[in-house]
Amino acid sequence: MKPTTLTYGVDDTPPLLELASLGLQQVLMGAAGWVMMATVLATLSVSLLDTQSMLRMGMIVTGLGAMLQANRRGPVGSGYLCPPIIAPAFFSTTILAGGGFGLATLFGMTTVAGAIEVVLARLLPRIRFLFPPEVIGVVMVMVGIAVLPTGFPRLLADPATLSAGADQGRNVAVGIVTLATMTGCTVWGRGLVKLLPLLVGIFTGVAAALALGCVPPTALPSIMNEPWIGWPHRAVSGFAFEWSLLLPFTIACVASSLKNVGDLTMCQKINDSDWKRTDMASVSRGASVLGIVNIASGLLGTVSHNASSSNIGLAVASGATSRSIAYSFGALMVLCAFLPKVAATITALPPPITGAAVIYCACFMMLAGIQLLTSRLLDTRRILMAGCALAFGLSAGLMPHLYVNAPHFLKPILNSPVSFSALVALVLNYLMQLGNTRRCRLTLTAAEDNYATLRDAMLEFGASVGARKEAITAATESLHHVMESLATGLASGEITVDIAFDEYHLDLDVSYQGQAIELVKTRPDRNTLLNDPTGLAKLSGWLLGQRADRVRIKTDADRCHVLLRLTN
Amino acid sequence: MPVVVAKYQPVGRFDASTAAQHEAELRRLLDGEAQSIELDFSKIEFLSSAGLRVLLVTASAAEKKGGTLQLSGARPAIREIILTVGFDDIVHLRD
Repeated sequence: MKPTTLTYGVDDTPPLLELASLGLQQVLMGAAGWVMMATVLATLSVSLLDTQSMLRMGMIVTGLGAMLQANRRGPVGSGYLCPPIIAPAFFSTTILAGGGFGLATLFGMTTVAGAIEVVLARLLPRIRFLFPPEVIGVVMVMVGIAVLPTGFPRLLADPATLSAGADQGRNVAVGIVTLATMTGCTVWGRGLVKLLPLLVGIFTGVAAALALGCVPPTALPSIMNEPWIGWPHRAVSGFAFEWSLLLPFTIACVASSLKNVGDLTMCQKINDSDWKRTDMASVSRGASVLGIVNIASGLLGTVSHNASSSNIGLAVASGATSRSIAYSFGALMVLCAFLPKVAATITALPPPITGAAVIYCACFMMLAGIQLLTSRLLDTRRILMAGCALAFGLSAGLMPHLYVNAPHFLKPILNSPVSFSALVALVLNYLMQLGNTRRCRLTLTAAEDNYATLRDAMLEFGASVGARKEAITAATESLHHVMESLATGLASGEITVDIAFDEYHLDLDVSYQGQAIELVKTRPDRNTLLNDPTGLAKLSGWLLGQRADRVRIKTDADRCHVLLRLTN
Repeated sequence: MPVVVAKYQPVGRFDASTAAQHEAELRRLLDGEAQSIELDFSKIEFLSSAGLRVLLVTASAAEKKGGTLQLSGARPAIREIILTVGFDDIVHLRD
């Protein structure tokens, strides 16, 4: 069901003007990826001309990739607004390949990486058990945290991000004004202003930058020197393949795929208020697109991409997640590739403005992950799994020097706090589930008050299997209704309760010696309840069917069974 | 004449194990001056068929005295049970 926080849900189509504006807003958000790409390429001493070429080819890949991702039919496409962006998981392999072997090798390995990602994407439904909500929640939290080192130095005008002689105080003011405007538009805005907080914030930031003299002196000439229209071309011709790079790129593919699972899950969650668990088939189709995007990235001569968390966060913040926006975004992005001045303008935006945009979106991403983590009952195993994953991921981000001497093949993982967290979460989740059963048996006595025993046992079991709180509450209440019925004299002696959980369902089998509970289809009226000696038992039998999805009574030779099924 | 209202806040469960105790207390209040009862259900974690019967009996007794039974602070699941059994016209739910 479409959440009430969304103005335009995934199946809605905004009017043309809003569609164009929302697409433009997403393009501006994607510009943060271009800045990151330019930063990475600068470490490889790639020429300005080649950098511009790779940026513009990246625009084509991003635009077409977003449109393919929005596709709902066929073997590829998740149907969501989930644009691609340059992938941090591939930063180290980009530097390894481009710096050590040249751009031709970088493009060749990027193509190979894309093919590996397509294979991984098809395997995702079979390895679904590796990605329970707690693991994905950790990834989503880290996805939000991971963009903070990109955002904060820019927002707070770290001198390293500014041109020589720039006034830091004024630049900080530009960043804060931008962030405040974006926040204000989201909280108090109406109409178009509420839909386009990023755009309004950026324009306000540019106005503030102009007023405070914070536009770098090279900004305007860099834009004026570019022609209006130009055909993008590939930076270098040819491909090369390097065997020694295959393992690092494969690990980067795994890391990138994990992030994609998190982002595509976020897309599902933000578009459905009834969302309970990841639809891995949809994630698989969406991840396939991202693999295809990387194949195209290598062919066209740009760097690897994955799902853009910041663009997803922007869609949430603006209340517009319509897949139609992917098409306007894609068209605008491809158009930008043929308008050199556009790329130049985007990269000329003062750093405090792009930093504000990144921080703004990071807020939504982090909290989405926390909400997912806390939507399930957590026992000690799960707390330690999530805690260790977050701790190790943060250690890689906050203290990267600790991992300087790590083996080369681990660098792609360790360079990305998201990937590191995801790997720790996956491994710990798998190891900690060893010996953990998804079944439980309780033995109770009919004559005793079993309320607290049942409640505590269900909570403990629910936490051990990571069941939804609502499902455990409903199951507990159903069991209480059963026990109350049996306490009217239907059961004697021992009562056993067998509980089984398989992520989708919670199955309960209450077994006892005695008389079967009468399942009543019609609600007993007040007169029956007040005057009929069997009225209470009838109401209990009727209430049983209200909380559980399915109730069945079965009798063996000497025992009665009340079989309940609830959806998790 | 103003209606005399008594307030009662049960704690824990409202089921077969506690029904007799709650019914006795509510009867004592209505046997006194009170015509209406305000039940604060904010500390109730479970309502069973036995508890529903107590509510029905109390609401009927209050109506006979010209008053009402008001219930506030109930958890969503408990509100849903009261609505589902159709007692919301005699047990008045307040937010």
